[in-house]
Parts: sequence; C-alpha cells; structure tokens
Amino acid sequence: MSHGPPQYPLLQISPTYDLKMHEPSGKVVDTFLTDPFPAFSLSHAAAPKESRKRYRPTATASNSPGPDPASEASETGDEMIISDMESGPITSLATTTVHRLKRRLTLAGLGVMASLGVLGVLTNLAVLDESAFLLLIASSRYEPALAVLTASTSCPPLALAPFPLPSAAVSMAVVTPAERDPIHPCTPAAMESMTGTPVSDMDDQNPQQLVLPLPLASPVQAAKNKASAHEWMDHYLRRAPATQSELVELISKLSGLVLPVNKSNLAFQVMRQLERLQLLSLCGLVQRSLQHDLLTSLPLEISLNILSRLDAESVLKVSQVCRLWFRLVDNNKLWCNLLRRDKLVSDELHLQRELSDPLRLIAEWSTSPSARLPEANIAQLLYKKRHIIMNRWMDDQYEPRRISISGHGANIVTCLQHDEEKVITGIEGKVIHVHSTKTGKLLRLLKGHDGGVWALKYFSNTLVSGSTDRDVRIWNIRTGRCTHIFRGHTSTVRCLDILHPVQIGVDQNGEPIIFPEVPLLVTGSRDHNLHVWKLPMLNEQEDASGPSNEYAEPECYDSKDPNNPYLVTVLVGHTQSVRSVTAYGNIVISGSYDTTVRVWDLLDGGRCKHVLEGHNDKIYSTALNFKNRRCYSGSMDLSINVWDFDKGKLLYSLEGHNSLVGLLELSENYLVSAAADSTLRVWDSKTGENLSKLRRHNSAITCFQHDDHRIVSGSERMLKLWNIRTGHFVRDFLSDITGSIWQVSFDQDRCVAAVQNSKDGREETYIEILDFSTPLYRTHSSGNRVPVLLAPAME
Amino acid sequence: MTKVIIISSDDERFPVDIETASKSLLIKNMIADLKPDLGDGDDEDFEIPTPNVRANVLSKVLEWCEHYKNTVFSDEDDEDARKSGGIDSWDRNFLKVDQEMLYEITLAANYLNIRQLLDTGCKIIAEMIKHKSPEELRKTFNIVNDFSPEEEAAIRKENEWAEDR
Repeated sequence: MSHGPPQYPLLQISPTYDLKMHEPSGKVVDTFLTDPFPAFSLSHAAAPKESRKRYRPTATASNSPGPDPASEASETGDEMIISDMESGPITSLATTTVHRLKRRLTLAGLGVMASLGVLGVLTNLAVLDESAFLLLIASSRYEPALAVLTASTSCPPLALAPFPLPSAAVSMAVVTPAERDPIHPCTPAAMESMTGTPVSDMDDQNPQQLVLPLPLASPVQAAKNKASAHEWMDHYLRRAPATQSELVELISKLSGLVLPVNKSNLAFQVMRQLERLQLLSLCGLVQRSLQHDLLTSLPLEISLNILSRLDAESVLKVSQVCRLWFRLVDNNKLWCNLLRRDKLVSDELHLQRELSDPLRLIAEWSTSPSARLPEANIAQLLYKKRHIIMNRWMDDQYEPRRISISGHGANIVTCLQHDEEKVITGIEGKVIHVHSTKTGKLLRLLKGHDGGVWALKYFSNTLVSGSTDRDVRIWNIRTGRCTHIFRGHTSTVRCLDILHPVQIGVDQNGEPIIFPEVPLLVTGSRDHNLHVWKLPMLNEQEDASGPSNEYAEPECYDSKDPNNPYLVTVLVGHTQSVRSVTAYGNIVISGSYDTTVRVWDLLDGGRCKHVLEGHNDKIYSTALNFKNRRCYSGSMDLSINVWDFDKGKLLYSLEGHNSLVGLLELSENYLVSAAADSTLRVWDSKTGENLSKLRRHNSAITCFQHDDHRIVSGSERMLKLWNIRTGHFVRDFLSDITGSIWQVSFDQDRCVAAVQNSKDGREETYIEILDFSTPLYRTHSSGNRVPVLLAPAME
Repeated sequence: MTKVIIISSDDERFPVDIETASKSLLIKNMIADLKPDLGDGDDEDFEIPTPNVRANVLSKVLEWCEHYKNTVFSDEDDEDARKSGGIDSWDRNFLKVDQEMLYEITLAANYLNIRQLLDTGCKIIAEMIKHKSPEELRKTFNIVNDFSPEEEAAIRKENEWAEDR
C-alpha cells in the first residue's frame, strides 16, 4: 500500500492489518514433541542423542556473538529434539512432513541462500499452516529462471563434520541436485557470489514435470508412514551438516516438525535475520504466491456478481482461462443479462422467443456444434448471433437480403407496423395489406373502410385502424375479418393508441395497482374529441369457429349509444383537430392543432387534468414517459416542450429546429425529434441536453425510428442509418430509390420501408424488406451443414 | 455509551458504535432481534462473534463501516444503476490491498451483509478482470491452463466474432 496506514478510528490504534507473523503474545506454544509416539523404543533414541551433542555446539558457536535470533531458533530446534524422546502430538504433522519431503519443490528464482532457508521453512509452513501462508509457492511456470530445490529424503547419509556457520547474509547458489552430493560440495564460485546470481542448471530440468507443493498428505498415506516419523527425525540429526546447502536442508526439514501454531513464530525468527533487500525479494514472492483464483474461490453468487459487471468481451476472455472459469461463464442468466444490458434484444418476449429454439440456434450460429465443450450456453450463443447481426447493420459493406413487394399501386403508405411474421400497411386507398415478412407474400387484404386509412396499430392478433370514413375498425389478423366497427367520431380518425394493463403504482398495503384492467383503445379525431374504448381481444379461437363466421358482418357500436358495452369515455375539450395521442397506464396525452397538450386521467373517469399551454402553433407529435412523469410535444412553432404532466408545468423548451417538428420518439435514454428542416436531433431524455444533430438529408424527414443503438430515418430518396450513441452517420439503405420514403420500421433483424420508386417511367409504391439475420450456417436436406456465403466484407 | 463488541475469529474484540455496526445488515438484524432496547439504557455491551472473519479483515471492514456510518445509501432496487456506477475514490483507496485481503473483505462483506461494500469489492475485482487476455488473467490469478490445445482452439474459434470490432 502506497499510502500510510490510517489510524483505526475506533480503537485509536494503528490498524491491525499487517503481517501478523507471530502469536499476539509472541510466545512459543510449548508442547512435548513425542506425545503421539509412546511406543518408540529407546534404542532408536540413542543415535540422535549423539548427533545432537555434536550438532548443538556447532550451531551455537557459529551464531555468536550476541543474542543473534538464529541462536534462538536453533535453541528451539534443540528443545524439540529433546522432547522428541518423550512424546508429542505431532503424528500427523510429522508424517505429513515426511510425505511432503518426498515431493520436489519448485521455487521461483531466488539466489540468496538465506532466503532459500527461509523458503524451505516457509514451504513447510505453506503445507501445514495454510492460514498463515496459503499457497506459498507460486506456479512458477512463468518465471524464466527457475530454481529447484529437491527436498528428497532419499539422499545418502551425510558426513558428520563440524561446519562453521558464516553470517546469515552469506550468499550461495541455488541448491541443485549436483550440489547436494556430499562428495562435491558447493562450487566455490557460487559460494563467493555476493550477488547471489543463481547458478541454475534449470536447462536440465523439465519445468513441466515439476510438482507443485500443494495438497496435504491423505490420511491413508499418513497412517502408512506413521511408524517412520521418529526415524526421520532420527535420520535428520544423525549427522551435522557439512555444507551450507546441507545446513539449510536440515533446518528446512526440521522446521517441518514444528507445530502449526508455532510455524509463524519460526518463520518470523528466521526472517528477522534477513536484510532489507532479501526481505524485499521474499516479499515479492510471497505476494505473488498469495494471488489466487479470486473468482472461483468466492461463493458462486459473488462470482456471478463480479461477472455481471463485465462486458461481453471480457466475459469471453474469462471463459478461455481454464475449465473452471469456462463453466462459471456457462451461465444462462449471465448472458441473458448481457443481452438485456447491451440492448441486443427488444424486450423479454423477444428474448424468450429467441431462446425457445436452441437446436436451431446451434445449427445456424454455432461454429463447431459437434466439437463443443461441456455445453454450449444457449444464451451465450444468442449473444453471438445478436452481436453479429448488430455488426452487420453497422457495416456499410454488408448487403442485407432484400425483398421488394409491389401491389400497393401508387398509393401513399400512411402507416406501417411489422414483426418477424407480418408487415401490415395502411394506405390512402381503402385497404390494409398484410404481407409475410419472410417471403413478402401477400397474406391478407383487409377490406371494409370506405376511405383512406390514416392510423393503424396492432397487438397480438387484434388490429385497429382509423380512417377518413370516420370509423374505427377492429380486425382479426389471422382470419382477415373485420369483427367490430366503432362509430361516433364525426371526422377523420387521425391517431390512435392502445393501452395495456400495467402497474401504475402501489396502494397503501403495498399491493400493485394495475390499470387498465383490460386493454383499451384511444382514438383521436379531427372532430376535436378522443374516444376511449375497451379493445376486443381477438384470440386465435375464432379460426376454429368455422367458415360460416368468416363472412359474418362486423358488429357495429356507436359512442352515442348509452348501452354501448365497449365505450369507456369520450374526452372532450380540444377546440381543434387532435393530431397526436400517446397513452400509458391511466394517463392519456393528446396534442392538438389548437396549440395545447391535454393530460387526461382515466383513473378519474377521463377528467382533463391539465391543459398544457406554451406552444403558439399546431402540435404534431407527442411522447410520454410515465415513470418520470414527463411528456413531450413537438410543434409547428419549431420547439419541443418538456412538461411535468402531474403538475401541469412546462419544464423546459428544446430549441434548435428551424422548421416544423413533425415527429417525436422517446426511448429510455433518448428523445429523438425529426423536423421538416431536414435534420434530426437526439436529446438526452432526462436532461434535455442536445446530444447530436443529424444532417445529411436534403429534405423534410418523413419518417424515422430509433432504439438504443441506431436511428433509421427517411426523406425524399434517402434512407439513412445513424449511430445514436455517437451521432455519426453509418450508411445509406436503398440508394436506388428515386421517390419518397413514406414509412420506416425496424427491429433487431430487419428494416422495413414503404417507398415510392419509378420503374419504366411509372411511379409505384413498394414495401422493401432488408434482412440482416442470414444465419452463419445452413443445414441442407442431406443433413450437411455448410457455411452460408456472406457478402464479401464478411469473408 | 453502549457499544457493540464484535469479536473476530482470532478472538480480538472490536468495540464499535451501534450505527457503525448497523452498516452490517446481519448485525443490525441481530441487534433488532436479540437486543431491541440496546443503547436505551446502561446495558452491558452486546457481544457479537464473527467466527469466520479474522481480526485483520474485521478491522478493515469496521473501518469502512465507520467511514460510512452517517451515509444513507439509497435503497435503490435498480440493479443496473448500482452496477454501472463508478467506484468512490475513498473506496478505491480503501481497497488498495493485496488479493487475499480483497478476497477476505469481499467474503466478510457478504457474510455480514454489507451490500455497498460487497458491491465495491466486486467492482474492484471486476476491474482486475476487465480487458485482460486469458494469459494475463492466468498470471493475475495464478491459474493453470487446463484446456487441451484442441479445446482451446475450439473455444477461440467459437469466440472469434468478438475479436474484430
């Protein structure tokens, strides 16, 4: 930590967070070493006694002068040896050590002998006292210089020779198997080397074969080795070490017999002998060894919490680290959240629909469906699909599959709505067309209106249309039959909206309030009024009711009929044509040519809550954010007003357009406006900040749509794609079109536009479908799966 | 003033104010359930053992609680807002600790149910992971690659789409 340790404010003392190397008391927990070995014969004890005598003077002599900590350490060791003759509760300890010593240890490069000694001690610590040092020895495969300490117990008996200990700081080469040979002590060069440059014969070693000093001995093995524990102790001390390497080895072995509670104490004693630089290098090693797999050692919920904060790219990198991490990432919830967060699915329905056919998803989008690892995560695969399709939109070299639908004559297309199954268009002629999105085939032709269709909207299987014939018609899309006619408006039905039951708040008991109870329909008309109707929901069952029904006359309902079961209320107040209506929950916002916006509360019987005055010209467009209690209106007076519809107050006015603001669209983050001045503007929906101004069109914007990634906008001869986040122009679509772009509508897979094109000198209206969702692979009838040849840019 | 004494796994005792201790939802609920009148009178101190939190860690966690003792965290259920929010600079400094400490603080925050601290810990760990190659991640977290070369190639191929942006 670079900054100084802050005072712990509660206790008025420094934080206890530092390396607590020793017991709080600093005392050694004393126990007899031989407790678990009551059966040991005294004959065994004879030999060690002798060796101890020789060993002890050597150690003490070498450590003089002064109260060098090393002498304490050796005293401790001595005590242990003595008490070993009696008994001590260290069975498992000793046997574990034995087991451990049979392993070869891999150490990261350390040239300093003293540090090596500490490491030997610490290595044992690591095994026996994990809470103190966890995995001390890092996986050293990344270290270029590896030092190998082979703590094999099968080394030949060492000669008993007194050996004067130099100061603790004497540097030595790394112990290698050759150096341990008693006949060939350490090479003089290495002995003298003060820099401690490791003389490593690593090249002879295969690092891949080095075993990491990880797990504890299994109980079975421990039991097997039980009887020999004492013999090892005996064996260690039979001879005084003759060389530095032998001494270090001995200390390291003996340290394995220290009780876990005393391990830190021992290590601390040894570390006190180190100099600053040695401590530093050791510190680095310890720190690196302490790095461990944070992600999977935490509880799963926390791991997922961490992953949920990553971007998809990082999550993919995580999956490539190791099997455990791969399995962690193989999580549907994680990827579904990524899909939602990155706005790659339109809504929950879209997500569920996409996930409902996993086999197809695999067949079409997985690169290697057969060689897949454990399991392909379907949501992850969906993310891949969605990401690729999104990139295709944004890649101006990618040519989407195009379907052109004729058959509309030269009519202006007034409204258009589509999904992955159908495209429904209303024209200034009297019919409504239903085309297949996939093939472009005409599915239904809805006839009944006696005038142009100017407003149209569908939900599920129910289609609503408003016309210049003053009628509102309800259609069953599947059968193509008009089931209801709502009458009452005395002029053209110009706009309409559908209200779905939603939660609008909570009552005193915390129970959610749902409103409306059933889907409602709001229609706005040139007769200055709005009508609110219960929307007849036409489910698929009507198909089953037989052909006799197919030609049945629609039921007619008039708003003036007091017994009308569908009419909810009539909203009266505007003094001119109602041009735009937006509704959600209990709130209806209507914009009128009378320059006012009205707020109606359906919970209050449709009372006009507020008349929002502020514009000084006709209102053409409205938008509503129910949650934030705001509504927006675009006007011929060039401004966009932002209102608080609860208080009925004008919050601010968005200025900038210099012609009629005819179109407004609101999403969670953005408000987009399109004007006759041939520009679009993107505003922050919360702050009203003008984020960008899109100007590449040459004439009034006739239509547009946006989501959290893009805007598609149309004007005379132009259909353009913009990146909404940057405000940058991305590409042109349908550059061969010579006439107007009437309407545009897009989803994640497709862009649908109603355009006017001249062919052979004759103007004709077309529906153009641009499909970006061509799969990566197609399965042929033979069962062979082949990559779909993509546009050159994708190859 | 009445204190709550939080006892670490290694038996160190940390006397803290009720407000500080209440940053932990676990302790807050414990007080509410067992000693609802704590702090009203001259009660004896209320001892709460945290058997899986070391003193070193507990001291850090309580330092955090003390710092935020008077901060009221909005009770937002808006997960997205919580997740996308940045890391407070005090928090960032506070969690400039080694991996082991970070790990233990995160675990302790989870155990003691201190959501803000848990979130911050997760954010810091996420930052350690973000924008790193698999090899860098292995190095950072000391992980051995146990994929076979074939598996590795298969995963890389499947993930190719994310490489070229």
